[in-house]
Amino acid sequence: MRRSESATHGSLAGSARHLLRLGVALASLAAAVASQAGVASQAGVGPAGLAQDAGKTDAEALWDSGQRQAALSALEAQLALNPTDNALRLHLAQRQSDVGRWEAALATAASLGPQADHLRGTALYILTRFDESLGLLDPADPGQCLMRLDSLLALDRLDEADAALAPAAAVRGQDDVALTVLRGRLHAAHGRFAEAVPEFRAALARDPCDRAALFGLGQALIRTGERSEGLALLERHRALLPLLDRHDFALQALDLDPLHADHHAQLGDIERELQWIDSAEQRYRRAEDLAGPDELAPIVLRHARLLDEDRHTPEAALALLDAAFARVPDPRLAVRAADLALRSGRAADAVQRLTALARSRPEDGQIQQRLAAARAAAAAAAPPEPGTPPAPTPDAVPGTAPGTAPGAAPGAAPGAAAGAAEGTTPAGVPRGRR
Amino acid sequence: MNRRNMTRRLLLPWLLAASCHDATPDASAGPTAAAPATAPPHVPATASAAAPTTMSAQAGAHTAPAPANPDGWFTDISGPAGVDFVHDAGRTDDKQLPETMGSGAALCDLDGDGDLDIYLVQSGPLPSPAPAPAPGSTAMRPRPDNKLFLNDGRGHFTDATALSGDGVGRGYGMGVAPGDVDGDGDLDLYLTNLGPDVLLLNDGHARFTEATAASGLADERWTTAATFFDADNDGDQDLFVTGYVQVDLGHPLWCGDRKPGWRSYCHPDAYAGLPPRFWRNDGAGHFTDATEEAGFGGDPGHPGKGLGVIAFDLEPDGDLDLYVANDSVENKLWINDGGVFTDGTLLSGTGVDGQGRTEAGMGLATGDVDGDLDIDLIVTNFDDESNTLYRNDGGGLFTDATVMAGLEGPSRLPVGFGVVLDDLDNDGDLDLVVTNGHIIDNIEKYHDGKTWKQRSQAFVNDGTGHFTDVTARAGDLSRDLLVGRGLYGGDIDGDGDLDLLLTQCNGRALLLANNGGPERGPAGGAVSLTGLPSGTFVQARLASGRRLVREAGTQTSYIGLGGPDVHLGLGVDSLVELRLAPPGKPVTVIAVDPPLASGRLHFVQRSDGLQRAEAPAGTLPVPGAPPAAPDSDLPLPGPDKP
Repeated sequence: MRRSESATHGSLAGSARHLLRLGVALASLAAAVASQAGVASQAGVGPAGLAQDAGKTDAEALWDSGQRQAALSALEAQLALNPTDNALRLHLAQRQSDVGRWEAALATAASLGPQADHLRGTALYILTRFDESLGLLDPADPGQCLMRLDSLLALDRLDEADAALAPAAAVRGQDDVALTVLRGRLHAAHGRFAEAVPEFRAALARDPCDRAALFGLGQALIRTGERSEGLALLERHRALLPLLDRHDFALQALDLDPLHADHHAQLGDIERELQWIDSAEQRYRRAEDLAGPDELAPIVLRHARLLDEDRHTPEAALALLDAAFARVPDPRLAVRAADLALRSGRAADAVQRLTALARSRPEDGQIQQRLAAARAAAAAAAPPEPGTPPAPTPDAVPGTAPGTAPGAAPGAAPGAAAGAAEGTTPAGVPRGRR
Repeated sequence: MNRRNMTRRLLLPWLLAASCHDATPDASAGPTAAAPATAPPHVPATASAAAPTTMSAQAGAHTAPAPANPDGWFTDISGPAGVDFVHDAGRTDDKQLPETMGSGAALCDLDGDGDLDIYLVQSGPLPSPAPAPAPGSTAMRPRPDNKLFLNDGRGHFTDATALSGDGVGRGYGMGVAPGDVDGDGDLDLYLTNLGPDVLLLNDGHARFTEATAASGLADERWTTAATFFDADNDGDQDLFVTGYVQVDLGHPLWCGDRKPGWRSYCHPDAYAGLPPRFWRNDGAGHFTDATEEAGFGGDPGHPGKGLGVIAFDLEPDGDLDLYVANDSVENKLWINDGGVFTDGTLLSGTGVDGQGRTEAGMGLATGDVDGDLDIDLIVTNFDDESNTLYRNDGGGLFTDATVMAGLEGPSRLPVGFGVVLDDLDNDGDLDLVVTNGHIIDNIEKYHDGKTWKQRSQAFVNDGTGHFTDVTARAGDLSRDLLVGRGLYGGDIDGDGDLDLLLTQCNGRALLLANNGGPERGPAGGAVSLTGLPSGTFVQARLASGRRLVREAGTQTSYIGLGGPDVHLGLGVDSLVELRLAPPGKPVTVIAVDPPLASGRLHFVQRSDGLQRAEAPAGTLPVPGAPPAAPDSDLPLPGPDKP
């Protein structure tokens, strides 16, 4: 796996940040654009020959393998050979927009008809050409109706934005969080703070971490005389900001290199901190799918912690660790599984796991320590024999306390347990960067 | 710009003044034009600590339509004016973040002759993390000097670096903050560096001696913005310095793809932030680190990453508050209460944009954008964030008014740095110019809608705080794509309008003469107020009854300082009264009789308040007066200059 692509200062994903602010998921945007391309293709806009199809397939293979620039070059070469293939042209434009090359996408699609309007509308919006985008953004499209509203706000055409709210609600649903926040913003822009308050409250009820709603509600409350509640909300907003910023930047990193396993795992970490457990678990799963042998264990360890501590399903965590160990026999996975087993009251199981592990790593002091603790716990679980001293608790062993990574134990010797720390950053790649 | 146009620009004030004497009041020109020029309404002082002072000055009114301006708003006169400076960022293949940030400059009177000189900060080779090569080694490239250009009063500059002593600077430079730290009446300089900062004491003739350690100052971190201001109203200049981030030049991070040509600069999130420092002056030019005591240290979790700082009186209550722009983390508004500061960020709403998002704050400017007599605030930001205009709603509350001001769309794509918010067309409201330039020199590889070099932008205010983008008519300000960093305003040639100094990262500095407006010459005359203490809050009453609010000496833009004088563009109006409120000092009310349509008023601070005084010898010519000498001795651009 490539692991070099860390996000840069204001990288291509900057435009993605703006979409995310609107609550438009990148995936849905890409899907929408792709769907348009598919429709155009099925409509026979440009029947591609077999050779072109083969070239396009090659390009898609490159794309799917993460070689996106090479894929674009392949598509551009195909289009140079077949300049009248409008389906191919639209596909290239879509791929260019996928990597933030909005100007290029517009240029590629310039000769296309209305089938490219969806892409054009988004591109012009991203390029802040709001006036031009308004005529192309589809009010019936779930993503573009938000872009329309935001464009009208950016152009200070507040009355038109007011009028666009109802149609947007029909598309996204009256209770949609992004739309509710936009309603609140619109009221605030009009100076109608009292009307903005319930909108922001409603958005927060559905998403307690929505930063625009938090900030908007705090400010609106202060302006309506509810200063103490407003300040409390703004304090909460301030406390959340670093985490939300990290989430934004992690999404941008992912956008830059969507096949990099650690990008997904880092998003999972942040979303777990945000208590977005379902989403975090999906991130970990995707990371595990993409991870190479040297990347898998740290990701699985984090995923297992989520299953154990957030889902309260230690059995699922154990199953995950075992499955991963079968794929990559990394001793850190076995250590964690033993810890889990021990903490779940399955001391004999822990002894069995650690005994097997100790055979392959006889010099690993951490494993020996754990094994001793597990044996003691197993003995304590058995009926006590007269004269037997009380067994030490698992917590007496460094690194076995819940929530403590084995490797975090003070003075831990280098070895499997010491290496079981989660979230290990690949050497040379900074964490937390955009 | 050709010779004819240059001459016209220089003579314009005189021509306008001459025409106004012949002008017949025209009812269609509105009440201002019809107001008697010699019998202004006297506005009594209602809150004066001092008796109104009647003042006479050269009067004039500008009723003739300004001539068309085919060259655009600004003309690059760097060459003919004698300003030759190219910033050397010391760029390397390692993509070290400091290479992207410089550099700043100051427009201020360093030799005490009453005109605006130019001090430009240089960077050069990055400090080596390894032991320095032996002297004379070819591996050691000499660090180029900071540059000092002295003004002859008419906008022609002489390179005086060689005579400036320690003014050449040391270290890898970032920014500069001028201020009279020792109370001897001249401007000293504080230089922020990647590495040890430097205090330079001025002997009054633009010859400088380093006095960092002797003054008690010591900061060896990567610092960026700094400002002198009287934080505790004790009559001396205290110092606030922003720290940026902790970099390890010996172990540069790699960001971007690992393909040839794709390595990029890392986001500041990849580095630990450095907090700001506050230094209190004892009045004799000795400083003590008072960061904690003044309230700035009470936020240990704050990561710093400051790139901008500006002092302004937001309430106004007679003391200077402080706003700090931070890169990608929350900005800070510090409310001054007798020299101790409290965090007013949350209540004010100025820490984030109107949607609660942190932005990458860089340049700062303050001023009354919407004419409601309080001070608004503008912050320049990164791409995909607009620049943000915070409208002062009173009571310490601000609203993100970027959208309403028409600035949202035009500023979302560029990376904004230097910013000037001042009356650039002399029509009585504050216009806006911003210089842009990306951090990443290969950004087009990642986003082909973006470029490293970007166009500077110009916006005119309609008087209500709504701006129109006139970049296409801004002349040389926006002709070329630049890696813009600093942008500073000041009347360098004494012709009554504000010119611009623009610095680039790894590029040449531009001195831009103001041709009056984007399409025509200036909308009217202007009165310049000089000699006011930094931070003086100025309220001006015009013959029409209109009021203007301005501030003196605080416009730091991006890691520098613009001209400290107050520029009162008047349009076709005239000035009848001034209320001057220096920080911590009584308000002085001055009646201007007869009304003044253009000119210059110089002030000195006395124990009983501000008083008008003669301008320093060799001062700039008074706008509206004939040129002191034929302009034939001025170097003019050749006819082939575009």
